[in-house]
Amino acid sequence: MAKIISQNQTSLPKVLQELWNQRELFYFLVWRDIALRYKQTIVGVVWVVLQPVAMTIVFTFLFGNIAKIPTGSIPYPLFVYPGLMFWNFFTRAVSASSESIVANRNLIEKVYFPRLVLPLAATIVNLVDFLVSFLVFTLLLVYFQFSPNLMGFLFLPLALVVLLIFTAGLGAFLASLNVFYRDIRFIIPFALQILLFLTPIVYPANLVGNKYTFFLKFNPLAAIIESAREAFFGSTFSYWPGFGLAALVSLVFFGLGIGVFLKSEKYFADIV
Amino acid sequence: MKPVIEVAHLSKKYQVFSRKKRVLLREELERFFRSGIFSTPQGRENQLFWALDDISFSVGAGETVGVIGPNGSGKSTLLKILAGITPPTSGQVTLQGKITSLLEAGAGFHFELTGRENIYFCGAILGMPRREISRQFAEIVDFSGIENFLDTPVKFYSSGMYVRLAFSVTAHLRSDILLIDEALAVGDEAFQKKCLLKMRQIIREGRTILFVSHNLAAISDLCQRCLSTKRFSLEFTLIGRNDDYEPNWREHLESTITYNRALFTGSNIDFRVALVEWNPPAKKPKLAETLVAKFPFLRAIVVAPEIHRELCRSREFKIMLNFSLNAAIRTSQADFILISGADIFLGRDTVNYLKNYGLKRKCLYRAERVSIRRKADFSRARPEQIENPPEIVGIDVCDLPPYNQPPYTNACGDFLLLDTDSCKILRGFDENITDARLHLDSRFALSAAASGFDSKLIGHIFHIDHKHSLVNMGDKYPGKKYDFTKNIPYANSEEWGLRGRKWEKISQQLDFVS
Repeated sequence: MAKIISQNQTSLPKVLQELWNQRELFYFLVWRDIALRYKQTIVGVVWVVLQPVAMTIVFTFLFGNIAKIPTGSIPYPLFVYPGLMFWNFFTRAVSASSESIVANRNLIEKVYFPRLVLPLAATIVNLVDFLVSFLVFTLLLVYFQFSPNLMGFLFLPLALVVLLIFTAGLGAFLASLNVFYRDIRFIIPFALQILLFLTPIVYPANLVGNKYTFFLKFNPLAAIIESAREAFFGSTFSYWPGFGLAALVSLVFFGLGIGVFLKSEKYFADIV
Repeated sequence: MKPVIEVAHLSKKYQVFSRKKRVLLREELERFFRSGIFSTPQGRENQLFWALDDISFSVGAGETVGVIGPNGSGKSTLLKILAGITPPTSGQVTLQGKITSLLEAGAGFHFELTGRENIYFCGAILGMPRREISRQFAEIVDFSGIENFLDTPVKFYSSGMYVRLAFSVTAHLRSDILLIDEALAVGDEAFQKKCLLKMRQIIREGRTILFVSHNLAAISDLCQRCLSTKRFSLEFTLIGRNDDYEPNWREHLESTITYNRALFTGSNIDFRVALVEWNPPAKKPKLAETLVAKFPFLRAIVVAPEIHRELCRSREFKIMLNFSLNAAIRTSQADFILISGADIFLGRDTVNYLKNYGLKRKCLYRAERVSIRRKADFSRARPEQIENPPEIVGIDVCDLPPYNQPPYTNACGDFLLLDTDSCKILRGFDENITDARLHLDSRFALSAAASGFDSKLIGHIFHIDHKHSLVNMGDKYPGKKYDFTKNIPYANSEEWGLRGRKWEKISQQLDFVS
């Protein structure tokens, strides 16, 4: 089979084929990230647990005890934790995947492999953390002796898939943009901080005035977190339209992000 | 056989200041708002740098080819394009089979990972399946000689250990095409030897290898041939006549020039023509002027009739052919000179050799001359017609017998290709020869050999037959023995190639010597 290299070389079927052929590289990248992350640390994997727990404690103190944000019958730590689970996944994945191309410039400049594996692996690897923090969530439920809806556990994977699609698209987009404009790495932490408060994580969405709920609708994170919380703790689950819209927005982000990435990836080696 | 690597008109340009220019989003926005759609493309064009400029070549299965050229001539860019790391600006590459690039040993290594982990990760990055790595693991470790440090992070390795491991991983890759960029000669002397042995083994396995290196010794040791990423110029040097030696001489000359030049379109070779018009008759318009106007790639030297007369009147008859060719050789600016004739059609095998194989310096390239039947119209001849066997009336085999053995003169005329510097070192053809029976081309080839230059037969040329082309002059004068070993290499005086004469520049393309 002949391989042809010319100026316009990327086509989606070809990229998918290549990704499939190099799926082992994908496993290796995920494995490398995990292997590297806690090398030369004292407590190692405990960091995965420590971070969401510490954040939950701080937020509970600030927003539960001091600001006294109403969360109904649900204890504030339980209210805030699922949101933080999703949020941590999102921020880590976006930060890591947006840096993935620049951080691996030595590979990009010297070896050919489908570039898309880098941001995708940087996103997917955070599922491990998500899983661990989910286990902590079940421990919290036991600690507070709170029994949530079974619906929550069924809905969680679905919410996670939508979040994964949204994050992967955004991550790929930012990764390629970061190659060309290093401004991105300054914008991201700052944007994420703002987004944390624009997303109903530490407060319920119904606290937001009607005037502004419209904007929440187009924030997939808001919909994912709100619907997951409703699935776990709500008396009924009526969030399908909002969640559907979030899924749609996520798919659009995914398409655009991957599209921009594939369009620009051929210049990576020259510019990075 | 189908080539494994086929490169056609490959070019790559870089914007020299693009990195500085585009780092800040703010600047980009500023530029956009200031200039908007009226941004001048010309201003940006000026900053372009062609790392590769229209190169074409092909590599067959199992060949080991060296890529040579000075720093910045695009060698690494070529390999990067072949590896798929960076796209070409134009042109196309067709590859048959799996390709692996060894652009830098240890490119996939991570300092925090252990040797063992890096072997697996690096293998995966280079496209080696895990099973394959496991199968070769012992061999890789054994080759690198780092068994004891396998579970130590690579950052604690000495630099020697590091490159040894890196080379071992990449050298054990399975692929049909291997691209190697300066990856040899790592580690200490013993390990370098081991690397070269491994390379030889890979070559024996029949894989196709493209090998970039500054280490010319390694290249000539391992590679069957070399190719250059740089364009070079080749000057087709011939003598023009303006008398009635031949009917329609000018048209005839034009058609061979057009024909031969067309054979080089789309190659790395800048094909030019140098024409010396000797003794132009006053009543006819000068041949050179017509041709210069028609062909922008042609330069001409017109030698005044006075010089002709002077040489003819001298006590010993001097061969004007030598003087005229030397005038073109001495003034040539091209990289290579091809001394040929107006009735020569270059064979496609010869042209393919010139296109695909790097021409070495200090090597005289020759071609076998095939005489073809004279036909009325050569102006639109195609290679298939020229090289059609029924048209062939005879072959000059220039390789046999050797030049310096009887009958001495049976050389292949009209094709002598040598780099310009070497031509100038030889000072062209011997201007002191007074005996026309000596085959001039044989004499030139002999001097080149006596100066220690190599010689290589690279293909065929097709020569329009005229009556005496196959006359063996050695047989014609059986009693006479020429001592070719005498006065070789000959030395023309400092005045060779009409240096002492009055040179007048008529135009950019035309010189007049009187």
